[in-house]
Amino acid sequence: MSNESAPIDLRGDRGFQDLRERIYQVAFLACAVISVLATVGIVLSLAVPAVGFFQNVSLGEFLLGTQFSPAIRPKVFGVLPLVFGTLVITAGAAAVALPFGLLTATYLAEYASAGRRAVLKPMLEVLAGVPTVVYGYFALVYVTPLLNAIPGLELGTFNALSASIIMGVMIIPMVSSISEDAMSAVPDSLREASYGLGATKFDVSTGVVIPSAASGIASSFVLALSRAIGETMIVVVAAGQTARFPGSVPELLTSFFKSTQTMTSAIIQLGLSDLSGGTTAYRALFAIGLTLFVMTLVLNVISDLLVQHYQEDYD
Amino acid sequence: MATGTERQGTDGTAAFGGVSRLRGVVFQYVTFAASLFGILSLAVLLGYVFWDAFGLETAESAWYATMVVTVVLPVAGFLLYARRNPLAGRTALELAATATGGVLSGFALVVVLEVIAGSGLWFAYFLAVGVPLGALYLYGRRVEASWTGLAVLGVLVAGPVAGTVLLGPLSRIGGVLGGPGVYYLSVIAPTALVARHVVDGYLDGPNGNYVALATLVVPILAVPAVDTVAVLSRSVWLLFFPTLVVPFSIVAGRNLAAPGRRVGVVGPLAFALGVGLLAVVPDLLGITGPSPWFDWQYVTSAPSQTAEQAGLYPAIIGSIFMIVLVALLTLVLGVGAALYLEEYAPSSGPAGAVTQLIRINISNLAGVPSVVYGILGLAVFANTLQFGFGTVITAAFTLSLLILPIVIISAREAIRSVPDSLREASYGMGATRWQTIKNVIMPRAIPGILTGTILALGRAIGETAPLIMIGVATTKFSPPSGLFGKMTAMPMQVFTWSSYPSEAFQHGVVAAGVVTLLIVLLTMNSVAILLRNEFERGDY
Amino acid sequence: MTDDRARTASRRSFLTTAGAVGAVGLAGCTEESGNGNGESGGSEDTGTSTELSGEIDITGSSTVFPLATAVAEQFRKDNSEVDISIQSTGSGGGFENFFCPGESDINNASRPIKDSEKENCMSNDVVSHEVVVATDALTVVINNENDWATEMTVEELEQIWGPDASADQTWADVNDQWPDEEIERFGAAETSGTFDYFTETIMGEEGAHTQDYEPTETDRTIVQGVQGSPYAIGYFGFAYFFQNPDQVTAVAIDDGDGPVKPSLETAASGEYTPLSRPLFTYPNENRLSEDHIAEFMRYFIEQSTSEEVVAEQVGYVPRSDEQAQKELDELNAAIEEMG
Repeated sequence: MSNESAPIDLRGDRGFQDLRERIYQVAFLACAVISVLATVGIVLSLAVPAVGFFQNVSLGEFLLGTQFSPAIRPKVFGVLPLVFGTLVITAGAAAVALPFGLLTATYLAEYASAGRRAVLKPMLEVLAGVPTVVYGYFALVYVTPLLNAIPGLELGTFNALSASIIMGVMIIPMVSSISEDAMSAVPDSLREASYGLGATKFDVSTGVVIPSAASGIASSFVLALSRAIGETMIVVVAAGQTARFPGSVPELLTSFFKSTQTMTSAIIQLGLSDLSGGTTAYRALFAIGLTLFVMTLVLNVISDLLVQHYQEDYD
Repeated sequence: MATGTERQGTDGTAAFGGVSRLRGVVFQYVTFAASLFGILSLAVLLGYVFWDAFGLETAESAWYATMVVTVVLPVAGFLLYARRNPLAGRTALELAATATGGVLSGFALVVVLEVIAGSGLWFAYFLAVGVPLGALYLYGRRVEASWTGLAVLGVLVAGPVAGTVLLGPLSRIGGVLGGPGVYYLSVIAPTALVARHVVDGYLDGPNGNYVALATLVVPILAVPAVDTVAVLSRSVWLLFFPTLVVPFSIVAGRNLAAPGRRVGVVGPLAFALGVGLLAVVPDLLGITGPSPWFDWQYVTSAPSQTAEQAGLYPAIIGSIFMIVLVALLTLVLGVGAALYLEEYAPSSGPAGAVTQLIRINISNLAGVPSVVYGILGLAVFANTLQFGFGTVITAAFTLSLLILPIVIISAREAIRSVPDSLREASYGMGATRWQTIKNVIMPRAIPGILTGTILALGRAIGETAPLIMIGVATTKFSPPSGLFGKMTAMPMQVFTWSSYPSEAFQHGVVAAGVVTLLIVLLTMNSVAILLRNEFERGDY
Repeated sequence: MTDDRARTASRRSFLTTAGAVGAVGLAGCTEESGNGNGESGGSEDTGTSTELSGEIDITGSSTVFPLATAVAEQFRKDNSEVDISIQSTGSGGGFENFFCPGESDINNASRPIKDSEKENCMSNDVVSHEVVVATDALTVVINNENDWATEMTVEELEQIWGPDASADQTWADVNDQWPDEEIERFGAAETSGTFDYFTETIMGEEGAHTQDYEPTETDRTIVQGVQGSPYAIGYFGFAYFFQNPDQVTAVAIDDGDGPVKPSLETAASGEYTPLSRPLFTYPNENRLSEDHIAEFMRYFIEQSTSEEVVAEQVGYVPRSDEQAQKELDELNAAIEEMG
């Protein structure tokens, strides 16, 4: 790498070398800028057709409407039933993923031996790596019949319950890995101080480590919720396509057992339907997509802020 | 159960009553059970789907007995042994992952070069792009000339153009050589170079020159043996040689050479032998075996309305072709972006603000739902750029954008893990930024980058929602004809079939599709994990 | 989930039988195309001797999708070099996004092409050629215990399914002979072609449908819903009922000429009105100059009379020989015009 070893010495020319460095820098910068272009592309490809939609349907009608019927007269495009369906599925998934994910993280960070961690962590990664269409198939073909075998539980072929349970299993690793990172970042000095005061391992885990890692854990929860909101294929395959908005509390509770439509499955359904391309109903797809994009974006930003919070605490 | 592993403080509990100790133990078991919950649920579901896909229901109990004797007992025995001798277990894992990974990448190579491109077309571009690149690389290693890097860029731009213009004459050269000749020159010869480099650079094993020599000679010596096997053409052999035979031989050789690891070879060997016996023995004894949906016919036929004739072939080829393109695109763009952000980007001033914006942007892009990427692909690649609906290139670009943030994030981590002291030493010797990247950073970051990329590719190969949005065909009977040909993909076909109401589709054909997809994915995952274990263990 | 009898038979033994059936089917095909050859006077008609190759992109209705897939699969047995991709996009989406811009060669539709769509196609110099490939008989079904509503008039259907049907409407509200129990409705999702056709035919107006029904995704869930209550009613395409005739009862529809039950015969003869609908496929006329597309269309029309393919495999009503001959003559005329 030194000048002497090179028989043909072009590097002596600083100008040429500078030019070369410049070119590489610009090429790498171009790669980084592609990600910005992708964001611009996403916003434009959602917003432009959505503008056409909002010329026919007012923003209030869309955001506050409690009925979504793109083809039955009177055609109404209220996004709330889809948001509700999304929240039902997300709540179900959270009920599975948050406790199991947090306990898993506690085990991995506080109790597991190095050998056991080395086995468990890749296996948990596999959970997140199974394609979502496969999870949807599992929910439809195996989980729903299994749940229906429980006496007193009457589920439709397509229902929110099995889709959300399966989705919960899928996002356990997302909760556990970020929470575990946050717990491992809690300084040992805190633990030792508690042990010094005579605390048990249980007291330290639940009373010191988890509270100290709270912002990181919260960040993992928010990120998992964002993932559940955006998940598509599980609901498309297993949850059905009936947009519902509950009128009463019992209806809210039974909505788990019935066919449910989320924002993501509405996008797929409108994309594949017999509707014509230029119609308001078809354009509703983009308005729903924009809503979905904004919701997940907000959650991701919150999650980022929470992560920064815990990193600042101990770094 | 894991009490011995508690870091400290178990003595402290002695001061408290049995109640609080009990509470602690119960909590520990609860956390352990919780961490198994997801894994066990998935295991049960996988059990069901494998049961269906392999049609195990029809097998009589004598078949199960044979399976227990030939496969289950030997493997269980080995696993028990591996618990006491982890090194043997790791060896077994390495061999298994290298073998399955080799088979998979061999298939990918055959698909792209032989099925889709054809040897003539491939050789034309190899001459126009590959040969100049290789020459520049070799020259650049010998002589530290600063223009080689730029020349590489030039070849990358001009090569494809030259290849297209001179397609006729160049592919005629390939025609004269024939498929095997083309692959020997364009695949085996470069493999020999790469093998030498990897063996000398990363592994403390045999001399790289011997490995390279063996790589060049063995494929030719084996030709008479290959000719006796009907299904194995010479071209296929030459394409599987670098992906399966070379890596497997290196890994097996290293393990056999290390005394502590030698025992590990027994595990995979016993498994392979057991499966072989299971295929033969029941037939000899007249025992009814399973009637699998997932079989050779399934992976080699086109889809059908009749469940018994349905196959996944066009979707498998489509998925592999697409994923190879995604891999090329994301590696180049992802590593480039990560290098910029880690090595070049200013951290202060107005330019620093832009950098910060790019960083935040990338982490948020990673959280955008995949169906939204589908809408993006539809608008940008299918409509605006006119790449066509449901074509391989539209799908590849869309999925590349989808996983790009993940690749960038993992590549940044890999680059960041290279210690600063090495950078400073390089700069201190007067190296420029690019020289530091090329000679110091990249060699150490590549394993980490590859691990992250393979995991991200696993995500891409299973994605369905974006494919639906960009108009990928619901049913297609033949593989894509080229970059701009229509395609279908494995998850797409599984999705299509999952809405067929008949029992044979629900529990047979779809289950077999799921198993195919899972085999591909698990192989990719285990190769990635292996890479990580192999290269991140105490390198620095 | 493991006790289905369908799979317990060894798959291998099935394969041999299937092979035999396939061979018989193939013999039938060549015979048929032999006839076509004699009458149409085309030279490269049979497809058994000539090597056809090229790509065919088919888009459109999810209702016609299974039929197009079955026909394409058969076609490829003789013409393995023809690369056919079929994409289920919906009738309208197919015209708007794929067929009229020239992206696809053939678009399937569960309704005739609209004038606006024709104009849209014309503006891109795409001329569509209409071919009817099968008939679907929308079937109204009731629970097997329901013995009062086995025959219904179109007006009664309109009362039950129309936009004015109230949520607590009872069977007695429709006909005072019927029990005073609330009606439970199971119908097609509103974005489907089945919904469109049912609504326009019974209510006479697009989108005029009650909101108070359980929109379902698959025929199977409609059957499950109807089986679940004696006071339930539902509607769907003929296919599922044809293949599972015992699970629910089909209603005989009275369109003024007495009640008629849906069946292959009544739908083919035109007695089953108003719910039998033609299913269409629209090749792009300009593309008919390409041999493989022309040949595929001829084959499609020939197969549209096959009870084995259209009825047994897919569950629609085959066309009569005369109808198919007329389609074939028109198609051949169009092909000749394209040269």
